[in-house]
Amino acid sequence: MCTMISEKANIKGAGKNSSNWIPIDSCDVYYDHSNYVDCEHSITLSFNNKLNPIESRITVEITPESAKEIIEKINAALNQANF
Amino acid sequence: MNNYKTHDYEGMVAETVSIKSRNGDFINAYLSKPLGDGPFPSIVLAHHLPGWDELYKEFTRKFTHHGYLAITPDLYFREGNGSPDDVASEVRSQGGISDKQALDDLVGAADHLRSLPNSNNKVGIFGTCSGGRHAFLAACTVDTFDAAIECWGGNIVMDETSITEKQPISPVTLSSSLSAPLLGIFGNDDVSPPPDQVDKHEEVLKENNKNFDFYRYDGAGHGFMYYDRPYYRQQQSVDAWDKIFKFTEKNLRK
Repeated sequence: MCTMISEKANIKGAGKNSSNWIPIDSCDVYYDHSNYVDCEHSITLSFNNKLNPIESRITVEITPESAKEIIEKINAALNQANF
Repeated sequence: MNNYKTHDYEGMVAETVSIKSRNGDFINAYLSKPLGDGPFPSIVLAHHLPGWDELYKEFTRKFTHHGYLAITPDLYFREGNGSPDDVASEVRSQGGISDKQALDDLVGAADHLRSLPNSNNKVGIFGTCSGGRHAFLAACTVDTFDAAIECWGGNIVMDETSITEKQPISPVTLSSSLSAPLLGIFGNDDVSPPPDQVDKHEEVLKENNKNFDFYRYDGAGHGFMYYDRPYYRQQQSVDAWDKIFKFTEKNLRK
């Protein structure tokens, strides 16, 4: 069975689907069996708008190593900006 | 069909239908039926956590190709409408669906199959991932099913910290109530369920003198029969399908 490891972040932002930018106020973060990436478990970031939490979803699936790399790079960028 | 030869005529009808859950709600289900008078055995499919998706509709038709009335209820019907991936993401973010809701829908699906004029009145249940757990849970909770196939069902053995309002009982504690022959299919590289939990699952079934067979494959992990996923394992998958159909023929056809 899938792990059901799931976290929710309340955020403020926007995301672009295939045609439009839409407001985003939530990001579900999962650690579970991958759908497509060639690894046993992956991190999924599923951005969405709580008013329309199913159809608004913009989702990416990455390896756990990639997730750590992105966390590092986000922190590095924020540090450079003195944020 | 098992005895199918190339010159035989073959056909099926597969479509979305509305069925009545045990709790009285109407939900969608995918139903496939062999053409002909039958009587045919039946199988209810409990879909996996990734949802009521194309793979499960193909599994449904696969059973019908082998001569079964088959139905997969949309266990996430009440949670919203959209692409299966997105609905499943939303369900996951809510901690899954409740065991009670799933069982109501699976029993409703079995009732629907038995109501069909070409049913032989025998109904099995098949599930993978969370559906494997639901299949085992159903076979321990109701006497509706004549055979159960549990593929890599996780959270069969739950510790106290895993118990939630939606999943209030560790299924392994219900093993003494198992009312149908059980076939278990597992990959030894799986981490949910890990091999030690499958050991425990097997041990409790043995203690209760239950009719079961477990096949545990080396070189395979979770979901190794999902041909559309990177962890698909061809040889193990082909063998597991063979085991599954031998089991259903023995327990549902006659």
